[in-house]
Amino acid sequence: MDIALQLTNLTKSFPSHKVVDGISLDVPKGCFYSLLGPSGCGKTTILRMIAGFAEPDSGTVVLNGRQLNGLRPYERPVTTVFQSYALFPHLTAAQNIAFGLERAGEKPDSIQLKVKKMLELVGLQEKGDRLPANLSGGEKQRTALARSLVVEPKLLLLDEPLSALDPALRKRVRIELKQLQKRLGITFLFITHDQEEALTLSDQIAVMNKGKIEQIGTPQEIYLTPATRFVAGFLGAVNWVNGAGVRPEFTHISRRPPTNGARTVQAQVETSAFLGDCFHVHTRTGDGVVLTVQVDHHEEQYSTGDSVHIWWHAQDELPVRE
Amino acid sequence: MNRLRAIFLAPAAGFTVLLFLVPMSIIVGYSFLTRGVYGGVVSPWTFENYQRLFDPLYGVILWRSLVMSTAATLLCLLIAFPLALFIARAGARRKSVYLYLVILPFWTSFLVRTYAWMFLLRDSGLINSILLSLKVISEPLPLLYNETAVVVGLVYGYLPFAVLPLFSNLDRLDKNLLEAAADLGATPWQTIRRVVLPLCAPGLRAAGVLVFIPCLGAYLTPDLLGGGKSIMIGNLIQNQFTTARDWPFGSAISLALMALVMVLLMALLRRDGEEAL
Amino acid sequence: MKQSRFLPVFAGLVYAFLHVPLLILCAFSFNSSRFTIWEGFSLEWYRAMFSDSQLAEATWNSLVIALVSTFFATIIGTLCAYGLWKRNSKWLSGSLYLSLVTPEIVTGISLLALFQWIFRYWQVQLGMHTVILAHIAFAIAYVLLVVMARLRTAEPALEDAALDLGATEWQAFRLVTLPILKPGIAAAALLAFTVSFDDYVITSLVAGVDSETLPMVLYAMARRGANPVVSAISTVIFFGFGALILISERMQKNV
Repeated sequence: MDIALQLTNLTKSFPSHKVVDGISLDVPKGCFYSLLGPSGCGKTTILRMIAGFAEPDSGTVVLNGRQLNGLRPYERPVTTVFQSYALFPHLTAAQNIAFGLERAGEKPDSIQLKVKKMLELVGLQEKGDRLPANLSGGEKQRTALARSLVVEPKLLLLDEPLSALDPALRKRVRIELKQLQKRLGITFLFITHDQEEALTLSDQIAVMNKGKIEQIGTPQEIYLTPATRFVAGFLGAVNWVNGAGVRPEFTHISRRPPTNGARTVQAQVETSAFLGDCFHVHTRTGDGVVLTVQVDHHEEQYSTGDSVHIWWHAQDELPVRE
Repeated sequence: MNRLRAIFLAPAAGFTVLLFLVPMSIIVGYSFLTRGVYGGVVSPWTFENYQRLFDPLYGVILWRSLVMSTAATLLCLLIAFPLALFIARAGARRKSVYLYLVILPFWTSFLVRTYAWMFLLRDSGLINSILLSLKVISEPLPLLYNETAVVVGLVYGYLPFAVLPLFSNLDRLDKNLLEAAADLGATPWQTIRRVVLPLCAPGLRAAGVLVFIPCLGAYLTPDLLGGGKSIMIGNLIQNQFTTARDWPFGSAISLALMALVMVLLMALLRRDGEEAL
Repeated sequence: MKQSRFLPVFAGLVYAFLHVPLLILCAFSFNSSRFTIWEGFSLEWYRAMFSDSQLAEATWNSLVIALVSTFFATIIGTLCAYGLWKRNSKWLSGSLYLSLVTPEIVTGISLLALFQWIFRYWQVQLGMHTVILAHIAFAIAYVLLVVMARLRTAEPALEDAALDLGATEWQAFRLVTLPILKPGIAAAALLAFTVSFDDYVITSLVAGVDSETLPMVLYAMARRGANPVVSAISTVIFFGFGALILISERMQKNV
């Protein structure tokens, strides 16, 4: 497997604290790789160091075998899709897209052709002559994407590019983005704090917290076998019972004790929240621990005050203890 | 990047050093020297020029400047506040028109605007002509060439400096605050006194300083509207550098004025930070 | 909350205070008599104004000085604003802002002292060149003020995006920031022009015998007494600059 990007022991400190603390990771060629973590965990700083807007205090950034440290952004075969899109307001969508090609010194005919193809690729054929002010949020995002892709970078950095879109649009764009990446085969490094986004889109995920990497793996690995308590809690809800963690979808509820050899505790129902596609039943054990169980419509319904048994299979427990 | 930035800053830096910092340093130097026989400056280094500042003869001028500047500033604030309030409450499109109307006279010509008041106030000026022809008075009123005329001229000249920061402050206030105050039973006057005024204290301070400083250093207004009797610090300085040919003394006065200006500015900056400007 | 009528009335009075004196001056510039009693409409004073050769020369000087200093001050000031926006230099921005609040009389005498001192070693005199230098010096701060205000609302990510796509720092400035700054630069230039054209205090101190400007002539005429030609000149200046300011505001809005 070819490695496109290799980060080795990257550190960056600001006067107050260490923002990036010894980060090492390998991004394979053609991979949709996500850096997932809460705000302030250092992922944007890492992005800036790869793009060339900041230099690491120590550690190397190597792309296709070539070290990028010390190179200015315009000397790196890396482009970025910014969170705010950063479209040039005085240029049309087509002119924005042409910008990188013009800097590279390409001939006008070639530029025109490439821009046209790229507009078609992102579905903006009719909107090429519009100024950014006359584009919708989704259109702006696609223009920013087109602009960064048309120069055929070896690596595309995406800084929370979907966060400014409304939820319905976000889901649609997500799918389009994934398809685009597969089609072009360009290596994507995607930054987000939204775990659903990371799980849906990525081939590999690196979960970060406070400047360090907590775990690297495929979406399934990270969700089903989290390596640390933080990863477990960040990727989804967890029911912690007696030191063991179980996801709500593997937690079951019944009025009578289970007879299948599963682990179980007794609890009392506190509330039952209707989420549209299911119920989340919140129960409290004798020790005061709150456990949430996912219950489908067609299953038995529970109401406040009911005494229930919460049970789960031992093999569904997370490998991580509380 | 740093080389590009250095190139960009170089011309401005050059002008600032050569045509601002160096001249000011020369003035500092001169303030400690002695007046030459034919004007110019000669050797003996001395504090005498600064000591002369305390001479009652000049003290009168300093005092007058302070009083007139304070009067002009207070008047400006009193006039500008309701006006700024009015503009801040206007609709978005009207706001820019109203602001434009305030700025417009200011940008045309200071000389012209000062002359307009001479035209109105002089013995043969419009006000006197009207009053005389209406037989309200039998002799022209001496409206020009006194301290009041100067204060009127200063207010007229620097009113926009008071309106703009006040407007900017008031405009940023949450309109809901005023509604809430009214809801809670405050009369408009109480609302203004208890809610609006404290919130636009920064604007008032900025406006006050931005008017007071130019008033203090005013030259044209007292020169044209004040006649010989109401000269201010600015006129005194000019006088020392031309007719009186006492550059060292003129320098000392200038530095004293600068010191006062800088103290006021520092105080404002410390209190309200850079956004005040 | 009941909208009292006090504010609009008060505002009206203030606007009257601000504008009526000038409008009266304009009106009486068309008065056929030189006294402040209306005697009939006449363009006599405008004719006198146009045929005054001293006035014409002074106006020409003012225009040349204003255009030259505006040109240089705008370029120098804009580049300076950009440089300071990238990374501030406390001494430079501090000095420039200080020069803005320094009373004109102090700026004027300090420049006079500088020039006289230089002239001891160099065979030069006060003249157009000293005036122009002085004007460039104080106009730079005004340009800086306007362009800086513009830059503060600019999105820094735009230049990052340009660099990201292959532009050098110079190209990023030229192709991205500069076009966006254009309206602000135009407004700054207009301000510099106005300030330069109108300046009396500094100019009167550093001008030579051959470099009389319009404000200097106006001042002398105003000092001498009632002169309707001054009213005529004032009217032209007022409407001329009024129109320029209007254009500037329109340009500023088109962003």
